[in-house]
Amino acid sequence: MSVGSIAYPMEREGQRPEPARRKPIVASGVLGMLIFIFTEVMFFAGLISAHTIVRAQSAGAMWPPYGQPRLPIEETAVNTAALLVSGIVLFLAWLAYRREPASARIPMLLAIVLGAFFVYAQGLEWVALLREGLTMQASTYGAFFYLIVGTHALHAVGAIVALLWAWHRLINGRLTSTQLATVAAFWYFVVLVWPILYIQVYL
Amino acid sequence: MSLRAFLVALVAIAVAPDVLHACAMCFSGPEESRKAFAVTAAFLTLLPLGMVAGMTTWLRSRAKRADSEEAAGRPDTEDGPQSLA
Repeated sequence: MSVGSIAYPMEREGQRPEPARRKPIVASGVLGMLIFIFTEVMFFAGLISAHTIVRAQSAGAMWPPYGQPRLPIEETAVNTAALLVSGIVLFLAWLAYRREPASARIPMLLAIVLGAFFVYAQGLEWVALLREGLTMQASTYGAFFYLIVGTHALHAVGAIVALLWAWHRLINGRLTSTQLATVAAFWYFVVLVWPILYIQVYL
Repeated sequence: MSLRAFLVALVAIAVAPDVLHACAMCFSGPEESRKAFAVTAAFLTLLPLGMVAGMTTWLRSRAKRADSEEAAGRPDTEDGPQSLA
């Protein structure tokens, strides 16, 4: 660098040291995932708000509307518990990974299995509800149910695929802590948003 | 809009909002519905602000921790001062 006509001696000799680069305070992958999650939070907030308003407009009338099947609250409570346990197990997998990466294999696989159980059980519930006549076209109630719960299910499937990818890298010894944290952040989002949706839609 | 027109509109909104009907949801429909509109409007307004505030606070705390670790002579790991990654 030159200031006016003065050149630093070290520059002339090509020995000027590089300024020390500071390490990022948050890994890029994690930060990117958090920003993505923020947009997803707003997406679900919009859906929840719309549902709240439509439900409030039916005040005095029946909700669910007459002739529409009731949602299986108890069965879904079991699915909800499985999903929450899955989040806890993934956190335990993270702790295990920090001690010894190989020790995270089983808890991570268990978290994936619990997540897959949740999606499978929700799928069974959908089939039963469709047979009972609850479709997207049947009523606003049905439309909101399939839109909100279906959107969450899509996120759950995407997160499970990401977890499977991470688990595959883990058993090959190629999973980095940043990759695990990024995938786990998405799964925590899927887990934590569900109880809100459950309370809003089912109760 | 001139300043005078703006002030007239402002006073009108403050004094007689139901006459203006600028916000149909605020002055029509059942009480439950209007309450839901107000609550969700507040929810959708405050949620992003809360998330940004939370994120900023979290990043600041991590930056401070990184500073203190650097001052103590413990350089960050490859991925940063990672408890999350």
